[in-house]
Amino acid sequence: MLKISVSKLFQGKALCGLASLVVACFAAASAAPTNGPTENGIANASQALGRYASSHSVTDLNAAVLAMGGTVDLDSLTPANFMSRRRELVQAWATIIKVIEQSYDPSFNPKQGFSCPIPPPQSNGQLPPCTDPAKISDPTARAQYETALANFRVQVGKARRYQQLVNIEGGAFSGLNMSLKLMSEVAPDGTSPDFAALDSILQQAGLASATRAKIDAMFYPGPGP
Amino acid sequence: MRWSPQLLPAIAAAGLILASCGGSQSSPVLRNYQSSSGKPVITPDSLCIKQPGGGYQCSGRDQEPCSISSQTFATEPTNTNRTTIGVGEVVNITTTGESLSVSGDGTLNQGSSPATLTAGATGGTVTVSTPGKYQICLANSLTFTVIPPSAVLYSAADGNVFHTQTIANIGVLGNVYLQPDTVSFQYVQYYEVPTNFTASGAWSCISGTTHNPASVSVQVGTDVPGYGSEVAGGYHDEAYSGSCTGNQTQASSESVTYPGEYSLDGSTFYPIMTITQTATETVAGAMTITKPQETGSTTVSSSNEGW
Repeated sequence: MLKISVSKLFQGKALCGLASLVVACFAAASAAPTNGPTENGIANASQALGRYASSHSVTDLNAAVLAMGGTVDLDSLTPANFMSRRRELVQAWATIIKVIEQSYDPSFNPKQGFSCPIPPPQSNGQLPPCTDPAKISDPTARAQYETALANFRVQVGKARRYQQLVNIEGGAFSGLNMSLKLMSEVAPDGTSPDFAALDSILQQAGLASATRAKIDAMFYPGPGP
Repeated sequence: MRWSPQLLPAIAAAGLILASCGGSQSSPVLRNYQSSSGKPVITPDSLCIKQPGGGYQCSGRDQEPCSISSQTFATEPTNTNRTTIGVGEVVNITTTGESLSVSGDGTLNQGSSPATLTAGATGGTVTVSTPGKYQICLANSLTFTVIPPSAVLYSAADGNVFHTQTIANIGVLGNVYLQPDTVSFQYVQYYEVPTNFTASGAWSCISGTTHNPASVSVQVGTDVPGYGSEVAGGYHDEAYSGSCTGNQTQASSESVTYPGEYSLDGSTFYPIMTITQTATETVAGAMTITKPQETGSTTVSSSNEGW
């Protein structure tokens, strides 16, 4: 027996009364207000970003990314709401990624080397790096060394925050990419890639050009537009 | 508009009608399904009806495993679909199944897609499973092998040796990597446990001094192929002998042995390996300093060198 894709009928040329009825019902279902995993996840991510705005804690920023877990709610997807759901998710991820972009410390260069300082030479020689300052007898040399040690610890902290942001950003890109892939897996046949609208969301979010290009490539997992 | 039970036979009939219209071959993926109460579930080649007692009545499409896809957060190593991951590594998981669960030393932040799997602090296997989706797809699982860092690699950062002419001192600057390079350790911190130097000859005064390279744990960063995950943000390890007053040219040795450890949270640490840093000087003033995979040489009489 030959079989046919119902979704192909939706687009097409062979619409019959019953298929139209099915379409109408999906449309009605999508129009009804819902408060499912997608809406809840986006709301929770937004709240986490709100907390981050005042706390500047990477924990809150990471919470925004984690809150987007579960937002691809396959059970609520219909042919009628598919594109709007995808736009909602891209909008939410773009907002998060923009905040991550803005969180990098422009004064920290991850390529600029730094090391634990070597104490200044003393009359009896020079101690190895990161020695206890108490081992330095000359007060001036000790103060100078303590300042260098404090600067080193600041650099360690900056390097840690930088890498934490890289890790969170990687999670956001991966989360968006995996969400788009899963949606692509269940997309109604012939669904438009919706590239112009999705790219416009990225543009309006103010993402850096490189970031925008990276996400644009996710919209076309194949050879591209 | 809402479906009424009276409409269900008509919908089922529609499925039969549509199924007999001819057209596309069955697709390996699920499409267009909808499971809200009383609404039909549509797959490429079937029309499924939710049953009053629960579940769906469909034709076909229930013999394939649900998909489980994974992608590491880390983009180095470049194979982000790998199922061998580092301790603490984070992976996105999606499925076409009903839900997700995990067993082993790992945590899932969600039971639905996309979910985030975070590997635990120790090695082993972690399995993510879906029970399937009734009448849509079958149960499936994906197993990850989690590995801890097995070695610390020091590699000369710039090839330069630190030395002051006429003084018995020598140092090298190194990049630090956690191995192997087949996974990412960018979620861990690296720590060198403080221990004391033992020294003789020109370096006698260093004996008993504490080797405490960073005083704090240092964040690990991106994986570098051929090396491992590099301790992040430009951090360089200094292997430096220090110096003492007195006779500079004599047979001398200096050594410190310390445990290298990793941590996910900065409070609980796990051993990687024991590292030994050694400096030696011959009676002729030739000096060498070594660390795993890193070495530098000079002589007391050599000109000043920097790093």
